[in-house]
Amino acid sequence: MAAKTELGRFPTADRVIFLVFLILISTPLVVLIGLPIPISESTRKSYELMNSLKSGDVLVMCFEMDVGAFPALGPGDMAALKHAFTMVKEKGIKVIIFGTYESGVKIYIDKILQETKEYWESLNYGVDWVNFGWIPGHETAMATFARDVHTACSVDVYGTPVDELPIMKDIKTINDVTGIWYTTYSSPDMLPRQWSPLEWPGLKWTICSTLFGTVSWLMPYVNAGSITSYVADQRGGAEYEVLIGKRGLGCKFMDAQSLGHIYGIALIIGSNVYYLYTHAKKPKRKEE
Amino acid sequence: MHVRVFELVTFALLCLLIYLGIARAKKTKPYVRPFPALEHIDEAVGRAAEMGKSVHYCTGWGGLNDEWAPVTTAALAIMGEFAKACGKYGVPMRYSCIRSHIVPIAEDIIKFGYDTGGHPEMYTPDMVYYTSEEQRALMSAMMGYIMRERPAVNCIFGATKYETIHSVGTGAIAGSMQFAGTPRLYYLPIILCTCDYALIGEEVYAAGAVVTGEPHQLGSVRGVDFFKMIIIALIAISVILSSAGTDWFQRLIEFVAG
Amino acid sequence: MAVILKRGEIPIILFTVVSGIILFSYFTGLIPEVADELIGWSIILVSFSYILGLVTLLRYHLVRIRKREKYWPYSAILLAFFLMFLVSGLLGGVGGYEGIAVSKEFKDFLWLHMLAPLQTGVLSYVGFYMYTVFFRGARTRSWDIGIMLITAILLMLYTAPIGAAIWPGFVPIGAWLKDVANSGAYRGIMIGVGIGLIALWLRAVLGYEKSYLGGGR
Repeated sequence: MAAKTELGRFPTADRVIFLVFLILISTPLVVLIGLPIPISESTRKSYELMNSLKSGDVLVMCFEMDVGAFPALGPGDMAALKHAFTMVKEKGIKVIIFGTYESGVKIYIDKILQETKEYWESLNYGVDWVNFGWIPGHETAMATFARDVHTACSVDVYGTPVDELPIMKDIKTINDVTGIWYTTYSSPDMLPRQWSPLEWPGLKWTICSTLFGTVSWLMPYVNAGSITSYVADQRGGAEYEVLIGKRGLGCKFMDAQSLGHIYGIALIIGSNVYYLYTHAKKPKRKEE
Repeated sequence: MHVRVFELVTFALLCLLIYLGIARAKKTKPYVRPFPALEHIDEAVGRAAEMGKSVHYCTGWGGLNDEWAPVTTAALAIMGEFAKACGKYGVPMRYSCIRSHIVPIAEDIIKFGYDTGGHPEMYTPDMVYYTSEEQRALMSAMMGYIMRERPAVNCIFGATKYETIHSVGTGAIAGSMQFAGTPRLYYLPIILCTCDYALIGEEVYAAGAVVTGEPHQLGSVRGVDFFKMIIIALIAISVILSSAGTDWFQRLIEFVAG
Repeated sequence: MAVILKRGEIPIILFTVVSGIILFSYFTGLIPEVADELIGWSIILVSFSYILGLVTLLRYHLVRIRKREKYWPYSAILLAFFLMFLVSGLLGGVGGYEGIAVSKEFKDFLWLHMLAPLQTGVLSYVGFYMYTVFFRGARTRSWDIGIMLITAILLMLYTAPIGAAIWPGFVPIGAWLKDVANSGAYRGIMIGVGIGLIALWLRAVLGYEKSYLGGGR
């Protein structure tokens, strides 16, 4: 599949394709189209699970993410954070935040906390919520957290030992956690392996926020009950924003996604029409 | 004490089948169907020799310390075949690596390939380019290398993530002959659209066993296949009985599973 | 003593004992504290692998600079930025801690306003290359590729809100493809991955699989 090179080393055709794509996806960010966003069943269920938290319940928000995937999963996480911090104020739930991905998760957590600052700056850090930053070990960190929270989260992001944090006083194992919001941009199967409500009786539910391509991967676990619900990619994040009544980045990206997908479909159809037309014109050759 | 009986029995059965497969493979080499991707390695590297270009290889994001270790092992075995062909035709090779613990293993594999192929003087440790553990660094390094050097052959095998798209997309623009294979299904459509030869799903494991030719690898593929046949049989029985309206088989499995 | 330590059996015995203890604890529920301790040790070992990566990176680029190889200035730039980020991470301010010599604002500028957009930018190539694939590769060369392309179009119309606006029927079709057809394929792959991992473990325990020991042949 050799590309004809013109105007230097990068083919002209690809430059035109990229330019049109860039124009199409950036226009809705300036000129809002405002297409309606139907709410999927999975996002609605995730919202209802989060909303079911009561006073004293503990919510863990674990991010197996890095900041490069922020546009995809960031809107959903920010919406969930806003929802969680609002419930801290209104209902008195507790929120524990940390990340397990070895590459850049702390930057991601810093970024989403920066974007949701108005929701947490009036809260009592260490009592209402806590941020443990990056916990090394990836899946082994998750396994350790399930069995011994204080060993996995020995110090918070500011260096405060876990024993000095009032919020962590009664949280020893994952059975003391009510629900988990787990965001991953790579492998969702670590969540059901280490933190399954079927395995840990105290854990009531888990929600997995993941990319659209990975949703099929976690469907067997959802069907089996190892994962309670999921939020799919940027679209799920936009739906969650609609549900909490705070439209943000996710909703803005949806128009761009719509135009981008229509463009992609047009390219597929166009290239196939051209291929069939040129294929039909050529004399038939024997297949090798 | 909570004994997981069903899991233990399944695990023991699988280990037994693999062990028997390995024992049998030591006497009679099992038949594995041919893979076009492996059969065209020589042709591809020969093309690189004619063009005076290099071969680029990547095993993606997976390492040897996670659940994708078997795939990475198979991908490294396939890389050994490419290295041997490069050694035979005198073609330079570049391996882009994201896992530091793979670097010494890769250096050894490539060096052995060039030694076996007949051009040991061509090997340099620079052939293994470590990009750091950051996936974006791997993506940038691969894209930059492929666009600058225009390798004649571009390969990506193993437990790959987004770097697959960067690798095969840039390779398509650069006009490289492309080989790819991963069991991570969501990049398969991209691979099938852009690559000349592909290994789909578990063909990567089997291909890794075929290239080494070692009885334990081939035997474990056979043992695993027997176990999968048992699973398929159980699924088929369950589907037929459930469709017929009876749930006794399902209740039996639930009783055994505990 | 050195002769004993160099023998290949020692790592295999270590591997077998440690994995055996963890598996025993998993299947029986006994000695969980021993298994948890071993898992905790692996977290520490993983952290040391980053140091190995650091040394490898430094060695590679320092040699390139010293020998003035092709594109060596890029290696110098890489090392300069590497040191800048390393120093800012180690000495920079975080939370209530003001930092030593590196202010919180400068550190945030480097990490949040320089590194984060760069990482996002590189990952965004995925979108651009997808369109290259649509243009160059998405050709209906056979009936199976045709089915794949039709499925891709249906799923694209399902994920974007415009699909539901064009025709509401795209939603249940896309949901079925995602929840039923695709997940069936994934179940098979997941079973295969799990079985492959057990096969690798057994070969390592029996001493056949030595690739993790660095030899390979």
